Amino acid sequence: MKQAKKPTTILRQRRKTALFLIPSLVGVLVFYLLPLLVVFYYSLQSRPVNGEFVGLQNYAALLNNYAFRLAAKNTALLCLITVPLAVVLSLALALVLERRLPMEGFLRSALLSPLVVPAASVVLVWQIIFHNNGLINALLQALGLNTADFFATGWSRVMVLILYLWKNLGYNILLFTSGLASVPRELTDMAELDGATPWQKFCAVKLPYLGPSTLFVTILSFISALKIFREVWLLAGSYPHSTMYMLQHFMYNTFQTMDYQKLCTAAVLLTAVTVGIVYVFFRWEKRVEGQVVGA
Amino acid sequence: MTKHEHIQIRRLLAIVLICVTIFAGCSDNLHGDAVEHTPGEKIALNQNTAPELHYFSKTYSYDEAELRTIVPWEDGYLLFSHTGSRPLDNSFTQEAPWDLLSNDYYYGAATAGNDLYTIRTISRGTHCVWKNDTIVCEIPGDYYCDYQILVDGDGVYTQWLWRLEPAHYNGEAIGLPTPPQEEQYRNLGFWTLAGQNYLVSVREHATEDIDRWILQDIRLFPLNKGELGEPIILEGFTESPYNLSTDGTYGYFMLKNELYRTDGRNVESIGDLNYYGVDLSCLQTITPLPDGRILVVDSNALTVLTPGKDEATQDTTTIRVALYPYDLHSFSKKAALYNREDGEHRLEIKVYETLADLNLALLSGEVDLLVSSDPHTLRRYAARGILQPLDELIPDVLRSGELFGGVVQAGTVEDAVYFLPTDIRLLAMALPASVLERYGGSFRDLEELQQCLDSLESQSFYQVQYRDVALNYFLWHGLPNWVDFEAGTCDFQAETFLWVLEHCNRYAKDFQSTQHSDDGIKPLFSPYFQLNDADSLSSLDLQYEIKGTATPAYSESMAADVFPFPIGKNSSLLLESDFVLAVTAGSPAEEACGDFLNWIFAEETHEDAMFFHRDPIDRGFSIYRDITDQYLKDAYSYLDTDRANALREEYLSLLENANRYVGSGADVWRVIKEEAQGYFAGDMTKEECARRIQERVSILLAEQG
Repeated sequence: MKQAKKPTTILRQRRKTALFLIPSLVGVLVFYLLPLLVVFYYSLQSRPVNGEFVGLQNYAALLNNYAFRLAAKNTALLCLITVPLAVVLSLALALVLERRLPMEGFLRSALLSPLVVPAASVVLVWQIIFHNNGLINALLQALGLNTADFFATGWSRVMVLILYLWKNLGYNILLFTSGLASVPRELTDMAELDGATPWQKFCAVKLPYLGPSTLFVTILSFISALKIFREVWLLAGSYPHSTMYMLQHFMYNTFQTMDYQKLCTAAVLLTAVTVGIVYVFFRWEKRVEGQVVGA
Repeated sequence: MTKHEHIQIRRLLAIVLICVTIFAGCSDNLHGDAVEHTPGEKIALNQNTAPELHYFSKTYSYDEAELRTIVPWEDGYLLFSHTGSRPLDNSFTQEAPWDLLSNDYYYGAATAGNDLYTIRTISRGTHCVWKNDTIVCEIPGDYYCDYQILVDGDGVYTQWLWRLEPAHYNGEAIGLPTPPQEEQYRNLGFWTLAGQNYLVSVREHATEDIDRWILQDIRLFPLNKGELGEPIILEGFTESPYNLSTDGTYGYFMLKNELYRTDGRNVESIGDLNYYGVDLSCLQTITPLPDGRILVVDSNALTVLTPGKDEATQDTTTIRVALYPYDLHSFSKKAALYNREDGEHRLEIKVYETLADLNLALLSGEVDLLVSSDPHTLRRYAARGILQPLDELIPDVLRSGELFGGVVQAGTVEDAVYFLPTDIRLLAMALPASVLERYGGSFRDLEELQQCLDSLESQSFYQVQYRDVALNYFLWHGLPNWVDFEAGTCDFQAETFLWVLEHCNRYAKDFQSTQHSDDGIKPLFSPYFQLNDADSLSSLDLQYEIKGTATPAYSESMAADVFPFPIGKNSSLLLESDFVLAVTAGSPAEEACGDFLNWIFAEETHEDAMFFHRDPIDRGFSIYRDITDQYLKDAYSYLDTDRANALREEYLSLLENANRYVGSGADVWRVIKEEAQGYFAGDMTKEECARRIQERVSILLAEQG
C-alpha cells in the first residue's frame, strides 16, 4: 500500500514546490528575461521609435565602433589582470586571517568596509591620493622619483586596479573564510600528524575543498570587473583617459545620448560573453570536482 | 470563556483599533470644517494627499490698458489698471470706460462690504491707503511696487510685496521678532484661514555667499489689531511661494507656474496657470471669490477660473510640451497667448532639467512638442528618428521661401527640416570700424587677428573677462572647425586651437581678477557681441574707449563693426535663439502640434510680436525676411536714406548667411574646459592639453558616431 502511495506523494510535493517557485519565476521572467528579450529585440531594430528590422547590422556597426572596441579591450584587460589577482590576494588574506591574529575582528571589519561605505563619499579621498599634486605624487617627489599622472596616462590602469581591489577584496575574503571553515578539522589534523608542511597541507587538503568557493569568487570578481564604473566615473567623468574607458562608460554614455541601438547591442553582446565565460567556469569547476572525487 | 477565547477577543479588538486608527489617519480635512491651528504648532504640509481640483477658464481682454487687479464691487467687479479703474458687470463685460486718475497710480485694491480700499500715490509721490475717497494713512513705497491689502474691521493691513519690508497696520510698521543671526524674515503677504488673519513670512538662512538665502520654513503670524501672535510653522516648502491671496478659508499661492491653495494643513493644486492662458511673465494678482471662482489678472487679460468641468472644453486636445533644459519664459509667454486664443488645443508645459529625464519621457511617449534652447540635442534626436520632419506639418511656411535661408539650413538634418526658432539673434566679434577697415572688414587668419589685437591702443579687453568665459566665447565661434560631428572626427592639435588656448590664457585668471570700468565704456575688442535688434549695429558708435580719455567718443571714426571668427569654414556669424521647436515622431497630438506650429510660425503672429508686442528684454529678429526688413526700415527711419539702407542691407546679409547655432555638444565642451583648466593652472603645456582633449573627444565622437 505504501509503495502505491509514493508516486502521488511525490507528484503532490512537486506541485507544491512548483507553486512556491512561481513567485520567483514570475520575478525572474518579468525583471530579467523579458527585459533581456526586449533589449535583444531593440538590438535588431534601426531606431527605438518607429524602427525597422535591420538584422545584425547594429552588431556589425558596434564591432566596428572604435569606442566600443576600446572599451571592450580595456575591460578585457582589466578582467585578465584583476580577476586572478583578486582571487589569489583574497585567498592569501583569508588564510592569514584564519590564524588567530590580534585585532582580528577589526581587520575583518576594515576589509569589509568598502562594501558599505558610499562610493561618492570616498571618491574625494581617492582624488586626494591620486591627484597630480596628491599624496602619492608628493611621496614620489619626496623620494626623488618622477611623479605619475594617474588620470591621463597608462598609470590610470593602476589606479583602476587599486580601486577595484579596494572595493572587492573584502567580500572575496569573507567567501574564502567560510570556504576554509568547511574544511574538515580531522583532515588537517591528520595531515599535521603525518608531518605535512603548511604548503602541502594547503595544496593537498584545503584547496580541493575550496573549489566551489574559488569558482564563486572568480565569477563574482569577473562580474565586478565587467561592471566597474561608479568609482571611475566619479573620479574621471563620462569620458576619461582612454585607458580608463570601460564598457560601462560606453553603455552609460549611450544611454545618456539615447543611442539605444548601440546600448542594447552592447548589452546583448556583454550578456552573451558573460554567460559564455561563466559557463566555461562551471565546466572547469565540474572537471576539477570530478578529479577531486576521483582522487 | 476560556483563556484562549480571551486572547482571541483581545487580538480582534487590537486589529479593529489599528484599522480604525489607520482609516482615521487616511481621512482628509480638505473639504471639511475649518481647520483649527494652535499657535507655535509645527505643521508639515502634505502636498500629496489632496485630490486633484478641476477648473475651466475663460479669458477677457480689455482695450490696450495694462491691467493691475480686480476686486468684487457692488453687483459686479471693479477692474484696475495702473492708471484707472472701470466697472464690470457680472459677466465681466465693461459697463463704462476707464475712470482715469489725473496724476496718480494704483498699486493695490481690496473691498470690504461697501467700502473700497486702494493704494494710490498722491501726485506720484507719497503712497497712501485710501478708503473710498478718504486717505486712511501713509505707507512707504516706490515708483515700482506692488501691495497686498487685507481689511480687518476698521483696520487695514498692507504689505509691500517682493521687498524686505515690514507689514503695516493702519500705516504703522508691524515689527517681527528678531531672527537669529544670519537669518531673516521676508514677508510674503496675508492669509485668512478659518477666520483668523495671518501675516505669512518666510524664514531664510544666509549661505556663505551672502547673496543667496535658503528657505527654512514658512511662518504664519496670527494678526490681532496690528499685534503679532506666536507663529504657526509650516514645513514642506522647498522654495518660496509668491502672489499670495486669500478667500477667508484658504490661502492661495503660486509655486513655479502652478497655483495652490491651503487650509494651513493640506495643500491642493489648482493647476498650471499657463495652461489656463495666463501670461506668468506679467502676472499681477490672484483674487479668489467666495463662490470658488478665481480671478487671475495679468497685464494683458483677466482669466476667470471656475470650478468643475466645462462641456465646451471637454474635447480640448492637450499638447504635452517638454521644455529642456530649463523653463523658457519667452516660450511660456507665447504658450499662454496660444492657450487663451485657441479653444481646441492647449499646451501643457513640463520642464525637464536633465537629458536622462527627457530621454525617458520621449521614449515613453510623454512628449508631443519639444522646446529647447539646445538645438544640438534636437539635431541628435532628429538623426535617431525621434523627431518628425516639419515639412509635413508646416509645408506652407517652409515652402514660402520667406524665411532666412540660414535658419532653415541650421534646422535641417538629412534633407528634412526638424526644428525652427521663432526669433533669432546673431553672435559675432567686434572691433572699432576704423581698425577693421585697415584689414578690409575681416581677417584672413588668426595671425592677422592677433597682430591687430596687439596693435590696439588699449589691451583692456584682457582684463574685463576671465579665461574660462573667454574660452566659452571662442569655443562658440570655433568649435566646428575642430570637431566634425557628422563625420565623427576632431582635430584639437590644430594650430588654431592652440592659438585659442594661448589667447584665452592671457585673460584674467578668475572673476575676482577682472577689472571693470564703472562708466560703461567697453574695451576695444569683444569676442562676444550680440546683435539682437536694430540698435545693435547703429549704436556701436558709443561703445568704445579712446586712449587717454575716460569718455566715449561719438564719431564715425570710432564706430565699431562686427566680423566672424577668422578660421577655416567660418565665414558667417553665429545664430542664437532662446528656443527651437520640434515635434516628436508618432505623437498622438500630431495634428494639434501642426495647428500650433502653423499659429506660432504664421506671419501675423510674427508681425504682432515684432511690431506690437516686442519683448523689451528678449529681443531678436523674426525668421521672416520681409518682417525683419520692415522692422529695420521702421527702426532706421530717423537716419538718412543711404545710412539706413547700408545698415539694413548689412543686417539682412548677416542674417541670411548665418546658418550655425551657437554652442554645440555639451559633452565635448565639458571635456575641453576640464583639460583647459589644467593648462590655465600651469600644470601642462598647451600641446599636452590639446593632446588630452584630442584623445578624450575622439572617444566621445566615436561613441556617438
